[in-house]
This record gives sequence, structure tokens and C-alpha cells, in this order.
Amino acid sequence: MQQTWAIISLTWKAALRFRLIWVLAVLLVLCVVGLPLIIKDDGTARGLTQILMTYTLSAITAILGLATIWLSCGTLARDVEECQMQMVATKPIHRWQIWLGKWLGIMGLNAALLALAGGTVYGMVLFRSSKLSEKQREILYREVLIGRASVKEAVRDLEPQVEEVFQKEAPQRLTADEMQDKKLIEGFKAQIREAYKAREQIIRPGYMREWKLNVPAAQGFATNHIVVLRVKFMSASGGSQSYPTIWEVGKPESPNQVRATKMLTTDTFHEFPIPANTFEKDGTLTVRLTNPSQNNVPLLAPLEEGLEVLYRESSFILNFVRGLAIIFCWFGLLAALGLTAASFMSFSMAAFACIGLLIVVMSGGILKEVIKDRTLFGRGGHEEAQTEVVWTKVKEGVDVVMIGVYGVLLGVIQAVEDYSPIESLSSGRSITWGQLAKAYGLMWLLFGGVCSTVGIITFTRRELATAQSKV
Amino acid sequence: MTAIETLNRGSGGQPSTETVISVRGLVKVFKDFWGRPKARAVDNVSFDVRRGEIFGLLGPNGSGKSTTIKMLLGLLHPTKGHIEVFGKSPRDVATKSRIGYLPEESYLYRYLNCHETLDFFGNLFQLPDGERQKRAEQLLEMVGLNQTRTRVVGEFSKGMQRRIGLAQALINDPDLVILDEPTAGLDPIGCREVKDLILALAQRGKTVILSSHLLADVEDLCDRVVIYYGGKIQADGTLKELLTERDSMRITTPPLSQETMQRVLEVIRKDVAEDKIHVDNPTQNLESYFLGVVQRARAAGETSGATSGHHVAAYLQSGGEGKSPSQADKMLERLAAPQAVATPTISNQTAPAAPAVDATKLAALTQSQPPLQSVPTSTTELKIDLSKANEKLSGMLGGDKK
Repeated sequence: MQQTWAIISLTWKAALRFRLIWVLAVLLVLCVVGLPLIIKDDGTARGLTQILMTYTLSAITAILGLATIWLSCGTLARDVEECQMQMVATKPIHRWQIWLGKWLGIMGLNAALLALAGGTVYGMVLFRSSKLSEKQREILYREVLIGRASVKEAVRDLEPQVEEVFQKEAPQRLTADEMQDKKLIEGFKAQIREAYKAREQIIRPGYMREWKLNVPAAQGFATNHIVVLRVKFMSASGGSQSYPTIWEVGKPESPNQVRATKMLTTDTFHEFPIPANTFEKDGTLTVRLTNPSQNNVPLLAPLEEGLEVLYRESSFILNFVRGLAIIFCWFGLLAALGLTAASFMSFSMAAFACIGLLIVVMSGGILKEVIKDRTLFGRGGHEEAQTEVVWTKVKEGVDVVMIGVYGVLLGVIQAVEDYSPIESLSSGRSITWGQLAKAYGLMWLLFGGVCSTVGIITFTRRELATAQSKV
Repeated sequence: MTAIETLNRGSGGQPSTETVISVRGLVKVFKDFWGRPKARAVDNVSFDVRRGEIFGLLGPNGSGKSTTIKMLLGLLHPTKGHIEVFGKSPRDVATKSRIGYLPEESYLYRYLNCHETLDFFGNLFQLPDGERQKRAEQLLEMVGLNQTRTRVVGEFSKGMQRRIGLAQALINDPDLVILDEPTAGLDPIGCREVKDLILALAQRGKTVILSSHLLADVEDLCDRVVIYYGGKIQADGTLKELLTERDSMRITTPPLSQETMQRVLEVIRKDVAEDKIHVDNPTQNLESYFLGVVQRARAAGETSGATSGHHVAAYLQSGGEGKSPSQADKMLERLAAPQAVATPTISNQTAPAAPAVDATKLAALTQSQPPLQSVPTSTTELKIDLSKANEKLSGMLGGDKK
């Protein structure tokens, strides 16, 4: 531990002596204090939160994320390039200890800077909230500065039904040759699946859709416990329009059931509070949405985000700390990535590779498109007859490799994106200890572990004396 | 077991038969990005280094010395061949606790000061806090940097960086010290001090590997050398084996009268042809001359320059701190004294290419020559210098000032 600690303190000293930490600290504080001054909010609780939470936390994450990559690439690659690593590696210290010491050093710096930036954000929220109107302040503390748990209706697994229908219908509709075409079969199943989903989602005029949600925690709710329904629906006519909707919350026929008619806009999330006593004793909550006949247009409640129950679970400060802990978790992965790149590349190449990878990660939509189309080269386009065969084979080969790589990348991106605390914090959603543990398990133990293992093995096997000092 | 303990068991600081480093059929081929051979830096090299000896790697720039050293340290991997250091692979981490390494350039962290540098490397050797601080202080004192302990290494001159580099190489009291061009960038006084230190280390049972293209350094210090050229060993052996000219002899005496000289020559001419006899005054080398001048000036208090002449760190001394000088120390005092006087080359160095004997020159040689004003060549001055140098070395080595 003494040796690892020496490397940790060396990393800190480098950041301090090269004034990097001071520059970053000033930049972060300026960002947190300056952004709300430059971008004016609309005086509402949500507007304030949007700027203070979403913008500043995003800016903090971006600044510290880039600094983490820069620092992690630099601290190892420069030591190798400038030959100081030759002095360290000839001492009785394992290479993995050097690697780990560098990582811990960077994470120590990140912890200090994130604590400073987070503390400043929190202070700014308290300061700015005092300038809101009383009503908005109430909304702020009821809906935003709070840790709210979320419960959605479990999405039904449609696959058994899809398979059953396919087995029944396919022999009648497809030829023997078509039954061998995997793409065609997949398309056929997709149509059946969409038909079932439509049946679950569409509420025709004069009809009602019922949700049953199970919230075990509701058994302990006091009568004034904050519970909110978050809803979103669309209309078959498309566009953004307002429609009257009838909402019934609570057990049907029960005296605690509440009924309300609300004029709501499509394609927008709406939140409205409901009494805590609408839950049944076992924590079940029944919600009904009726599409009045006069609407003359079907409404569509999406399966994934149509209805959600939010209730107070923890204080904002605890939620905020957990949110910062997840951001810290991201930095750990970035630091591991930077160190891994620096384990076998020069500083400039490692930094370029990591930043390039980040850009790819941020363009997840392109990856999705490529995977959906199953090709990098797009559909259509014709080549000259002589070159067509060769070119097609090359393209197919590239597609096979790249679709696989993109698939893995997208899988990682989506897994990491699931743990985005900024949106949760700005919408007052609770980040649970379980989510936090899963984030660390996934990003540190799984992705970080794989990345670190590759980095440490590469660094351990690397010849450190091939670089020439530039000092 | 440390080298000091080993030495105190009675090796007396002489090279033993115990092999510290064994190199067999070593080949290193550097390859380009595509894996194609680019340069054959080391080509089928084999040698052994025994405990307690100063082993020299000699050769011109790019001959493969540093590459060999880096393979010994595990920083480069051999393409072929086998290396053992203390009987283990050079990449064995535990073995590295017995090695001190000074690279050919200062590869220190530029933002750390002297004390932090030694503290950092001391931590890598897992030295306890108190011991680390004590050694750092002693080493800074030894290399003459105790006045600049808070200055960052990046501000240092090359010579000062060399000194702190040497200090870090000794922080762990190593059994094997690998020094790559240790005197590069040092002033003559610094060179002499480093050379004296290397001798002191060897006499205390440490094994020293010295890589240099400075012939004087190697000649002054090494027991055995290998001479590299083009990645291959061109010659190896003890300096005596390599340098002795067995087909000629030299007799050194105080100045003789012309008659005596003639008589001696007459006797010699009976066996040796006239054109094979050379008579000349021995000369000292420039280093000896320079050190003599500086020492005289220092004695007269005429310098305010860099400090020097500090004590060897107590923990590096045989028997440790507070103990009486061991047999090895005493032997070291005796053996090292002539080196420290800066006159070891007086009898070894000759003027280049003396012409055959002629009567005029012989007459000139046999005349008694008055000593030059500033050159410490008279018997009286030589004695003074000897005593001062002896005193200095004794101080450095922590022994009696005799």
C-alpha cells in the first residue's frame, strides 16, 4: 500500500504543481455560478431546475470528463515518453500497482473537484430558490427538490403470443422457400408484435384503459404523503393538440376513488398529485383513463412511458449525493479507459483515441441506424459491373465486423445511459442505493474491470525503455 | 542479507566468485511498427558479473551498452538469450529491491524537489518513515544538495540532476548498483567524488556495473570490462589483462644524474636496439592536475562555488552508524587513499610517443627541474595533497582521519 500511496500522492502533486487542479476548480465554479447568470430561467421551479441541474451538472460532467481523459492519458503516457517510468519500474513495485495508483490518484482529484462543484450547485439551488414565487417554491420542494421513487406497470411479455400466432398463420401465408428466409420471418413476427402492442396502447373514443400498479411502499404512506401521477399520451391524428380526458384513481366503487376530467396536451408529460389514500391496503393502485366519445380520435398511451406513479422516497440532498456518486462512477470508467489507452499508446494518440470513442458514444443514434440497416454503406447505389462483385464482398466483410463492434458499443452505451443521474435529479426522481450499486457493478466491475485488465496486462508486458526522453 | 552484512562476514570487499549477473547469448533486435527488424542493438552477448566487483561496459555511442543495461533491469525484453540477476529473472519485482539504478539522463520528476524525490523513491522501496527521512538527509548531504532541498529538480543544472539521480540510486542501500554514464555532466570535482563513491561502494561488497564511453572513468574504477562495438563484445577481461603491453617495460625513478643515466642506458643497449628505447618524464593526467590546483585554491579560501567533499551516507557505511570501522573500512582507507590524492596516474600515464633517445634530450631530462609555481608536483606539495585527500576520503567514508 505504501508504494501505491506514493504513486497516488505523486499524481496529486503533479496536478497541483502544474496548476491543473486550480484551473479546473476555477472553471467549475465559474461554470456553476456563471451559467445561471448567462441563461435566464423563466421564473418557474422547473425552469430554475433545468438551468441549475441539467445545464450545470451536464457542464460539470463534460469538463471533468474531458479533464479525466486528458489527465489519465497524460499521467501514464507522459511518464513513459519522458522516461520517468524507467525510474519507477526499476523499483520493487508491480506495474499493476503503478496503474492502480495512477487511477486512484485521478479519482481522488475527481472526488475533490466533484465535491466542490456539487457543493456549489447545491448552494446555488438554495440561493436561487429563495427568489421564486411562493407557489413555484412549493412546486420546487414538492416535485423537484425531492427524491421520488417511480413505479410503472410491468410491460407484458408479448413473445409467447407472437410465437403462437406466427405458428398458426405462417404456414398459410408463407411458401416453403419464404419460411427459410430469416429476414422475412423476423418481419412477419414484427408485424404481429406491433398489432398486439397497438391493442395494448390504443384507447378508442368511448373506451377506457386500466392500469394496475403495485406499490408495496404505499402501505406505510401517511395521508399527506406526496404522490404524483406522471402521464403521457398521443393521438392518432398526430401533432400536439389538447383533448379532454377522464381520470379515475383508486379502487373502483371505493369511497376513496377520485375522478377528474382534465384537458391535456398530447406528446407532453403531465404531472398531477393524487391522494395517498387511493392505494389499496396491499399497495395496489388502479388508474383508469377514459377517452370521451366526443374526441372522435383514438388516443394512444405508450407502453413504456404512458403512466407512472411517483412518490417521495428520500430527501433531495441524499438523492443529490447519490447522483454525484453515479457521475463519479462515470469518471472512474473514463479514467480506466484513458489509462488503458496510455498503456500502449503515446499521449497524443491515447487522448485522440479516447476522445474519438467519446464522440462515437455520443452519437449512439448513428450506431442504432447502422445496426438497424445491417450495413455501414446504406441501401441502394450501384457500382460498375466489373467491380460490383469484389466491392460487394468487401462491403459484406466490413459490415460483418463493424456491425458486431457497433453492437457491442451500443450495448455498452445503452447500459451506461441507463444510469444517467442528471435527468433523474432535474425531475426529482429518486436514485436508489440499488441503482447506485448496479451502476458501480456495471461500470466499474464489469466495463471498468475488463478495461483495466486489458490496460494492466498491456502495461505489464510493455517495454518501457524504447521511448526516448524529450526532456 | 545486505551487502554490508555479507561483507562483514569477511569477504573484505574483494570480488567473490558468487555470480550476481549472468548473461548468456543475449540478443536484442528492435523492430518497426510492422514487426520487421530495424536494428540489432545487442548481438549474442555473454558475460558474468561477480559480487563485489566493478564491472565496466565500455563502448562508443550506440554500441549496445545502455540496451544491455535496460535488459538487465527488465525495461527491455531480450529477443533471444537468458539473463539472471541474483539468480532470478530481471523482471522479478522482489529482486529490484536489491538494485540501485542511475540512468544515462535525468529521468526524475521535474516538479518534485530534492527531498520529495528521495522520499518518493524511498516509499517505492517501502522504507519506514523515519528511516526514509534519515537516509534522504544523509544522501542530500553526501551529494552536496542539502542547501537546495526545496528547489524542484526541473530547475537544476545537469550536474545537480546527476547528483540527485545518484542519491536516489542509493536510497535502498543496494547490493547491485547500475550506473549509466554516472559522471556525465559533472564537473571534475564531482566526477572525482562520484568515482571515489563507486570505489567505496565496491569495497563494501556492493557490485557495481558502470557503463561509460569515458575511458578514464572506466580505467580508474573497473576491475573487469567488456568492450562493445556494433552490439557485440569485442574484448573482455580485467584491465590488467587488457592493457598490459607485455613486449615492453618501464622503470620509474627519481631524477638521475647524467652519468647514472648513461650507465643505465649502456646496460640496456646491450640487450635492446637503440630505436626501441624511450626515455621521458612521466606526466600526470589533467584530472590530477586540475584537482591539485582546486585543492590548493580551496585551502587558501579562494572559492565560493559548489560545495563538495561531503560524507558518505552513514547507512551506506560498513557496519552501519555508530560502529567502529571494520576491517573492510580500514582496508578501504588504505586502498582508496591513492585514488583520492588525485595522483594515481602519476606513475601510470606517459607522454605520448616519445622519440628515441638523443643526447641533448637526455641532458635536459637529467637536469633537475624546478617545480612550476602552480603545479603540485614537488615531493613536499605531494605529501600535503596526499594528506588532504586522505583526510577528505576518510571523512567521506566515515573512517579515521589518518
